[in-house]
Amino acid sequence: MGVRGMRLLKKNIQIFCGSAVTVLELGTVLVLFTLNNAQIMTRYVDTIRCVTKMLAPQVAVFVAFLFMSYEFFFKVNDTGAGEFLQSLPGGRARQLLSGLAVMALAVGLVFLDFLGFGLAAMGREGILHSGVMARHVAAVFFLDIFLVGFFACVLGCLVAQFQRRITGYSLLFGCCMLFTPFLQQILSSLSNEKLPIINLGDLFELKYPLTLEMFEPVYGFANEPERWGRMVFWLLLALAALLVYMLWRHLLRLRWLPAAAVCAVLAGWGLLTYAQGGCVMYMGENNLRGRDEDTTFSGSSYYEYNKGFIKDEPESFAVTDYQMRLRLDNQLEAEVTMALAGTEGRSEECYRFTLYRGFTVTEVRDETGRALPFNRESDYLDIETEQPLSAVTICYRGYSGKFYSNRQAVKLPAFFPYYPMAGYRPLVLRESGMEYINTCPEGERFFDITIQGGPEALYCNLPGEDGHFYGVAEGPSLLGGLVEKKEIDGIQVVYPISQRFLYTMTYGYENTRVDAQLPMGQVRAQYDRLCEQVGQPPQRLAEKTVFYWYSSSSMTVGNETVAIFADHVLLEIWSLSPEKMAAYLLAGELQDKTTDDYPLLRSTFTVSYLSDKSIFNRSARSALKDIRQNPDTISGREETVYLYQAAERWGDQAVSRAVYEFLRDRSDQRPAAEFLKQLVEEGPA
Amino acid sequence: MAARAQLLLRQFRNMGWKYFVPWVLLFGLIPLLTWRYIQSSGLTPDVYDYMRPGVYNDFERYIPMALVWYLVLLFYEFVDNPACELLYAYDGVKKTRLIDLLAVHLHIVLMAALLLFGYQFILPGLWQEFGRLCIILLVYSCTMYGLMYLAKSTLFAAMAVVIYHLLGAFMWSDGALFDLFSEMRIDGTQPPPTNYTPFLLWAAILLGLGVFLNRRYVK
Amino acid sequence: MIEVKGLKKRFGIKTALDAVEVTFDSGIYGLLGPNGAGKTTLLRTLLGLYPIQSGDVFYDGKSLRKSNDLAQNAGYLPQRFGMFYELTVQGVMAYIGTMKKMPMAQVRQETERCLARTNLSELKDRKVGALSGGMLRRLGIAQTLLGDPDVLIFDEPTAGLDPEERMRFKNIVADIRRDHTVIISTHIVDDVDALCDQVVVMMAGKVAFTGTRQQLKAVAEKKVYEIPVEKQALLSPGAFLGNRFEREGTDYIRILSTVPQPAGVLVPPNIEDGYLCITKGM
Repeated sequence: MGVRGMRLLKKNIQIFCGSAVTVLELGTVLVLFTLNNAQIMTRYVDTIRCVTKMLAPQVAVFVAFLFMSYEFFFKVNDTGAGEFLQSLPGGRARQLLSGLAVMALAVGLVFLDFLGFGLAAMGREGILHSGVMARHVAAVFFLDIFLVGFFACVLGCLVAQFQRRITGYSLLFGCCMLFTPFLQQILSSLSNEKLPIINLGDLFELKYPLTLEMFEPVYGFANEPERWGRMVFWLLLALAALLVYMLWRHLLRLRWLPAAAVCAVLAGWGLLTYAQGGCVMYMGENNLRGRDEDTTFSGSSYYEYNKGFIKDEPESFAVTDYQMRLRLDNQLEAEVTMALAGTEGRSEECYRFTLYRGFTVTEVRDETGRALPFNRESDYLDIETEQPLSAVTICYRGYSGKFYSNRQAVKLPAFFPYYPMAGYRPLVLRESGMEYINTCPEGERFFDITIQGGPEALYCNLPGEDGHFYGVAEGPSLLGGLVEKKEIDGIQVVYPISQRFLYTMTYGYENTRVDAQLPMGQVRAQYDRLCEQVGQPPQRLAEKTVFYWYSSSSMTVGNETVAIFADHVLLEIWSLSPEKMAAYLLAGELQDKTTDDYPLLRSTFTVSYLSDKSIFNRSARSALKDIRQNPDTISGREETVYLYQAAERWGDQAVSRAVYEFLRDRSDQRPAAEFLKQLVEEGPA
Repeated sequence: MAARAQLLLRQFRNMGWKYFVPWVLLFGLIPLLTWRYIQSSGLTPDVYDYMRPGVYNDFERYIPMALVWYLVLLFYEFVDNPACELLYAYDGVKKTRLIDLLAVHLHIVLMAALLLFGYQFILPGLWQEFGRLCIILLVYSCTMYGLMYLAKSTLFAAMAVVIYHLLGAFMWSDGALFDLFSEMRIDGTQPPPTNYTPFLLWAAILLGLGVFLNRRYVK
Repeated sequence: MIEVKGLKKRFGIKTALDAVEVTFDSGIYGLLGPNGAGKTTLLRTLLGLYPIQSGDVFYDGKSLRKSNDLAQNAGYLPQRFGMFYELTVQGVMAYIGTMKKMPMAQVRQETERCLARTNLSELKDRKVGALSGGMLRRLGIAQTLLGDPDVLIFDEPTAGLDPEERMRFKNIVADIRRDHTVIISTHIVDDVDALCDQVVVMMAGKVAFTGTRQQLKAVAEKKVYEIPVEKQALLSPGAFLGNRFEREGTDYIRILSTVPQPAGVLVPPNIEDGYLCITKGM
């Protein structure tokens, strides 16, 4: 930018600052956002929550800059500056660029305000060192504040080209209706499966997809190519429209036509990127979107209405070896080659596998490379062949909303069939149709995984690095995104960068601020103590990698709070004292009985009884007092009351061992309440 | 009086075709959305209870925007138009233009009343929401009036109110302190009238500010 | 008669009017001055748009501080006129007539008269938004004439008009000069020369000159020279270069100078020369 350009920029800044309306608008926006962001900082500790709340009024950025830009450019036209500059070579174009630069500076101020607070939140949380997190926060503010604001500026400039203010005002209102929740709400209400017009409305949804109470610290914020594509589309389309309009009115010279064409072409590219979709964290108004899928924060009712697709039919063959080539872009693309054992002399022509229904199978090949016909239904895949197979390769792509996999983040647990598993296996518990079964019954196999793309920080339970992991395991769990890996007291721990400090919701510990990076040595000690108490040899916790599988929605480690494998543990963080964590780890060993009232007994026994005896006793005594007054109040509290009575009568250790043994013994199918009553009356066997 | 009515009539005529946009919004779009609720839930006995919150939400989302639309179109000539000094010079009407404000406000209130009257036949009891709707409209009228003359711009006033409306009517769900709509989402129980006192106080202050600032022409 | 006595007006720290003393009686007054001289501020103060901070203004002997009778008896055309674009020409005239507190019957009559005066009768049913710039200005003039007010105030009435429209305006004003006080604030000296009996020159919030056209011309007496352009270098210091023109194939330049300029030829001054002498402090 030469001297002339600088002078023009200064002149435009003078025009901007000389208008009371634009100054008032910018001032109001800056003050209100600053106050809002500051008050958010006083209420929340962690960066994820802070930034999510800061983004809540993001639509205000669009409206404010739309109106501000209109006022500014209208004033510029009104002063006759444009008309005068048109007589100079390239004057009008320079004025336009200069004006947009001024508006970009104004948007930039707001962007810096948000970024400053975002970084301050990181600093306060002690994670400012994390380049990954800082870049992510900057990227989301750039997309949702700067680009949205700048798009509004270009739109305002376009509307300001119309001579009459009142016409401009009408168009501004129209833009507000289109690009804010007005349109989404209307289309959402009018839409149904036969007339899915809400899908068209998605294109106009600039608003940050938000749920104020749910957070996904591993994923961070919605920053997918789909959102960038949409934003690029609208921004460049608006620029192209502006240039074309000015060319049509002979306000610009013809040499700007290629620039308009380039903008239009790039807008098309943005639209294509948007249209590709993929794995996104979606919380918008489109209730047709992914209605059969789990989303990041909720389960779907798919299995509730499709109970027939919860099958449990093992195969006679087994997979002994996996060669997995994964590519993480806007979704997961995979090529998995499996070595099969037990297929010699097999007469069946159909090989059955389980693969989550969100993945579309594109190709199946045998060991010679020959394509095999296949059939896909729900989570199941049937491969047809006349010859027995010793190996098979399956190519597929897709994603799950809950167990996401894209360039930004990955959360794929070993128990989830994101890779083909032999036989028909149920993904969820039949009773509820919602909770995923979090075990891998096949035993250990060899896995060789190569991953292209995906997040910078990506970890697996298998040894390896730089996207190549291999080894023997029950299954591979992948966690990547805003995570770090650290060795704490000799145990490898992978945890979310943010949300380090959480507030527990356990009774008696409400709002206690606890550090998520627990001293694992204490956890190990507690765990060993509990194992001794229940008469169980301790598992070798030190050899397991602990993944903090945190999400503010529940059941992301399946039907329990913890999923335990031979070499790793997936832990949902709810309460974080070493005693509590040890109790959850122990509870994870007791996964066999998953029906009726066994889960409640398991959780009462491990999480309440074993982990914090004093609180448990207090709760039990209070329950007994209520029951004496009104026997009906025992409902829902039998486990607590009977456990307490049994321990009082027969001793802590004996009762602990008896209950533990009962929960492990699949052959003992007595209802939990009956067992406990007998325990109280007759004592441990 | 007749002369004043003539002036008001001409001011409304000056809106041209844009005058009819809120009519389409209120008497076209809202019933269409209601019809969709009925269609999607089926004609079960409890369909009306099911759709009541949605219908009321539509009222509070779109009716206030019609008010903003009319206020901008009407007051544009007196605030934004550089030629407005002419109207200040001629002493024909009170410079404060409170009658114009009242006229627009009553116009929207009557439109809302007409709409709710029609809905009474399918959703009895929805009429009791009329009072709460009037409070929103009153707060918005006074806020726009005050901000218009503070900034000497209908655009600024509209921007402020539209942003508040988007955040309040569509997005805030955790009852922010200054969220007029958090009261409106309580189903079944009416909040006590004193809950609206802060908003009414705000409306009175903004109205007073507008009157004070509008006594004289300032450009 | 309008008497302005010691009128002062400040906007913050800026003094817009500084002890202005001027009298406007029947006739046409041209209010000349550069940008920021205070012309528009003076007019707006007369109309009551700005309150009188210091000094006073009397209209027919009555102070405007008590009640603004002047505004009730004035027609005003602001610098920018364009409103109610969706109403017809007739509709806007009726609106403004009502604003001027005219009875309805009189409004209709007056509208016809004023539109006829400004050659807009055929366009009375056309929307204001469909009028050209010149027609819009004529409408502005027409509304000024509504009710035949005693005082007519025009702020830059011919700015942006083509020669035909400007001539039309001058004819209209010339028609009504009798028994009316007409104040025309303008930059265009030619308009003052063609129309105005009296001229008031304002500079930096003060009245720098009040008098007739002849008196304004006389300010530049013996100060105006013409010199061929190629002899420009022979000018003595202190000369202000004016218009350049061509005569009989030779380019000349008109200069103002309080110092004798032997290289030039002394010529009779015009109004513009007088105005420039005042604004340049000669």
